[in-house]
Amino acid sequence: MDTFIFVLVNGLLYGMLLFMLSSGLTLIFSLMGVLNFAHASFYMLGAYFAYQLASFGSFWLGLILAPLLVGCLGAAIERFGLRIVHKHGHVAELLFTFGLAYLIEELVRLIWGRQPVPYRIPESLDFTLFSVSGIDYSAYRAFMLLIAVAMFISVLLLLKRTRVGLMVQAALSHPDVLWAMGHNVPRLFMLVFGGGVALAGLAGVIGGNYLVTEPGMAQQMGTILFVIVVFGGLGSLLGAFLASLIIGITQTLMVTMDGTLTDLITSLGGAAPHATGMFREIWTIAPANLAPVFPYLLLVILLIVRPRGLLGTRES
Amino acid sequence: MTFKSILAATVATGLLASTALADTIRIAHIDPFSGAFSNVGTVNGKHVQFGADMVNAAGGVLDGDTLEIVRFDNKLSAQETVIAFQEALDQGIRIVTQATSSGVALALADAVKKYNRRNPDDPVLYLNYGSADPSLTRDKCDYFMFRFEAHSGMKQAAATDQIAKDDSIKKVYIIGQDYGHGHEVSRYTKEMLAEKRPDIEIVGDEFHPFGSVKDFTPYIAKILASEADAVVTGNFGSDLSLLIKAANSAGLDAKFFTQYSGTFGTPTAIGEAGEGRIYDAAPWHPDVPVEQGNADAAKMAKDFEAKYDSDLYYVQIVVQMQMLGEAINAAGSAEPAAIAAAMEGMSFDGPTGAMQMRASDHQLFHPLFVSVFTQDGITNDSEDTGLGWKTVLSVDAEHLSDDSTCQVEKP
Amino acid sequence: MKRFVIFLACAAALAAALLLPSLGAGRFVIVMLTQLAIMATFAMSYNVNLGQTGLLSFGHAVYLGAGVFASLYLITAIGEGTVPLPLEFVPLGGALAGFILAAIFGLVSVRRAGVTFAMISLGLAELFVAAAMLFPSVFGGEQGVSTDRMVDYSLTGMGYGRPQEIYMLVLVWAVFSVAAMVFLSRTPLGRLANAVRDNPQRVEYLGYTPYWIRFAQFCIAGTFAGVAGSLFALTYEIANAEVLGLRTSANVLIATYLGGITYVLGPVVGALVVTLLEINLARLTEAWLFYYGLLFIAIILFAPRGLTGILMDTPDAVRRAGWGGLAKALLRWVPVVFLIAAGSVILVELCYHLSNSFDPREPLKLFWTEVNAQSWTPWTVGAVMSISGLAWLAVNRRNAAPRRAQKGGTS
Repeated sequence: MDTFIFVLVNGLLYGMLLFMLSSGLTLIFSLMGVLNFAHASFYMLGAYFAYQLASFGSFWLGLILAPLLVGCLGAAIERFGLRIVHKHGHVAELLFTFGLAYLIEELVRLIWGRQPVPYRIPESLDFTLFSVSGIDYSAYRAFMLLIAVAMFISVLLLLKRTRVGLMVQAALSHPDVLWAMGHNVPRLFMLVFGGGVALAGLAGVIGGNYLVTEPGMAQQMGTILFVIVVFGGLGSLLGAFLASLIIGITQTLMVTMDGTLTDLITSLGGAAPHATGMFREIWTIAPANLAPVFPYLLLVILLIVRPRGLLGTRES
Repeated sequence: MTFKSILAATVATGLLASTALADTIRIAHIDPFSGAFSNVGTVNGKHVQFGADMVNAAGGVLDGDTLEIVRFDNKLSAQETVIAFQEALDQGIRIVTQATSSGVALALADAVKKYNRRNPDDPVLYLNYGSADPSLTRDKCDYFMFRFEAHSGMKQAAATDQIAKDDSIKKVYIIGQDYGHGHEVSRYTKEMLAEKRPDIEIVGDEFHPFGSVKDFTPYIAKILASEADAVVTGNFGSDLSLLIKAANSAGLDAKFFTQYSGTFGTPTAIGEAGEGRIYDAAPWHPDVPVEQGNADAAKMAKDFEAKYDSDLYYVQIVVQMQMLGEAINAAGSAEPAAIAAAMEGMSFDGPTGAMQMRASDHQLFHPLFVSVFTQDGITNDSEDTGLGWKTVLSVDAEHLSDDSTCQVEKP
Repeated sequence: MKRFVIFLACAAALAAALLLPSLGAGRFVIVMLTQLAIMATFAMSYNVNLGQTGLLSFGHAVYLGAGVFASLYLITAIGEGTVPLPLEFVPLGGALAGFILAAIFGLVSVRRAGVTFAMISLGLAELFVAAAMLFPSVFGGEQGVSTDRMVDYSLTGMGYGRPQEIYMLVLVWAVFSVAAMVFLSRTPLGRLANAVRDNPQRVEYLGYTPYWIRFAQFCIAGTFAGVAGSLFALTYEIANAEVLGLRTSANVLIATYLGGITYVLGPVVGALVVTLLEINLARLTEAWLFYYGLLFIAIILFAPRGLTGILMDTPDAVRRAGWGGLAKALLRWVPVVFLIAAGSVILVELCYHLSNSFDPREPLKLFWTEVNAQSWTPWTVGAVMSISGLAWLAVNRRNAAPRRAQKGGTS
């Protein structure tokens, strides 16, 4: 029971961090069809901006300003880069963001150097808030959860209640009709791209000090975000939310599980297999070793069975 | 006098003149100087350059010849390393040095070995300034390859000595990256603790995926559940920082025994979270000269910091360059075969104590220090964090242990 | 006329590739050429998917890797005498491995093109890489798998120890593979693949199944990627699981796209340029990644049909503008572009020198001179050059815009 609660709580906390990163990506991807390979780079920029602002003033200054800065930068990149590439097709757009990721990483290295920077959790939040089965959770982790939930609700409200939100929703399902009705779709794209990467920047602000702020942090994020977006389904924020939680919880669960094939066989009364030759490691692989690849397995299976993803409204 | 003989005479005098003048002995340094791992490559590059500069400042080698470092960027890719090696060969360079990433080191060792076998008259010398993988001086040991820093097994021997000394440790949890180095550290720890402190219980032996874990809390939960007093890890880089940060925030107060806490931004990333509970086994930390009262070594560290705006992390790289200089002088020649013969079995009075290059497998034996990350009684802090390292156990070269039985074959 | 020129260019390139080694090129050039041949084959195989069939894959390195590891084991087996196959035919083994893996993965992934296919390919690649990391007994872990290509069993009687000899073998196989893929693109299958790329529904009405056409193309791509993998194994004789990774897959996507996916030989052009840049740019400047990224983005922004597109459009542009017009345009634009480029390069180099070099106080080698990066002079020169160039551009663009509108939109 203890373990169960721990898996749930920890999975929720980790899943929400993933969701903060993937929510912006899912909006951009669904609306513009751009697989934004530079999304994690904006997450990194958020962390570095926040570090810089924290060293000038306070963490709270960074919390507010850094995502705004990242958003403005994103909007400018959309306006003067992505928009030009748009007419050359999705592969060109994708490669553009690819090149962008390279450039941002080099710029970060140029400005802030090659080693990690000391971006720290604010002291006012650096105390133990509660414990679950012997594990302490700091107030900062609760704060991270709070920010993520607040972000989720406000993005949902923005989409459901405002005019821009309705336009985004319309564009998600019927992009051509919106054009025909005379709306300024390019400006919408710019807003969504800027807003989407601002969310990634926010994730960087609150994730950068909890994890490590260094030039490799974008690359280390890897492709897990795409998995969440595609797994959740195109055009579905709720899908991305569910996918993040599923991945957060399964990751924690798999690490918590012990046991190997050898253990299984011996517990069933068989003799321990003789581990020799090629592929001998198969007898000693623990679930924890498979945790990082499990999402990809889920993704492949889901896409073969249900190409539109968990809650997707359309295929592509 | 015919035209031909004039030509021959000119060439001959030219050759004579060039040998009489001071020469440069070029050394190819192949490491990642750009991209994701450039943080490691450039810092190591500074050490290599610094070591060469020290040799040159002390009068160079032979009759005033100087060491020149030629850097090749391999972007941490094995293919690019092989290409860079060929380029170095083209330029007439016959001494290479490298060590960032054991995978690349093994690829380069392989390439050097094959080249030497295929070109026995024109061999290349490979100086490895500190790869962690024991196999380089074990099943892969080679006459033309020398390693100047203790491998992970030897460091673990020192770390387990410290664990054995500490009576408060009853239960040990081993966690590491699921690849060569992590497995080696785990294997050595188990073997050595079984010998040194049979009463210690190994309560966990876990491997996590390399470089892809962001949330270490579930692992920390397992360590907490095991009630371990000490955690042994071979992790480095962000895998190490994240592990320690997660341990701290989850309220795990076990001691950590590591091999890479003192370098490359890890002290910065960990900060005060690690105070008093991180132990590191390494050939150097900023306070070693203070503790040993060695003014020369202290000056060396100061000079390095003043010149390169970075802590001196890897004293063994500097040692390597100094030993190279001495070997060239002893051999009276900069030919790889002569250097290798002089280097084998060579003794050296290094900045941290006496050192010895073992003749059988070309592994350098040097002092190792197990130290704790702390604020108290520190003269030089680490990476301007306000915290530094204090030696709790020092092992001199004679007492380092390594069970390699490899015997290099003389060509 | 155009066809003739292309044919001539190919013949000249081939002749140069054949002659270079005998003209006394160094080892570096030979290994670089070998790498070019491998990359050209690999990029061509990638374009069977992307350009011809419209399948965007993020996991093409997996099939290369299958060829690499199969060949490494095959070469060892030949060396031990267990497989009676001359060394020259090792790529057949790689092809088989690539084919088998592509057939397995293809069955589950080519039902749909577009994003679904791209994401399945990404997922499968990550799974395969993770599996490779989990099984050091097969993929050798960090050390990788190594072999020795001097197996005493070859058709030509060559030992293949020297880089020149292996280069010839690689070149023959690369030319054969590229020719085969060009031929396949002209067969009915290749044409159908183009149709499936453009409009799968219509193909279905014609009575063909897009699924099987995609599958056949996917297998062809995998097979030739396997051949490229074999050539890799023959050249480097060592590999670890890193060759399977996303970095290799991304590289081939970049090379292919930059070359131009709509041209049959576009990927070859892309592979040549990207590989040359990757290997040589780093030898010129520390900031190579920055320039590389910029160049990459510039080509995507301004040359959507890739480098081959630029080459192919040049004759038309010349015909339209006439030689005089071209000279005028060049005179008008080249100086200003040069001014901006040189100015920005100065600024970028200065930035890199200040923040990333070993010692910023040392003079920076810039073009032909040396400058002090800590004084204002070079910064001012760089800034004035690029700003004045940009200003000139801004003014002239405003003037040029109405004129272009009169001409009817083409320039």
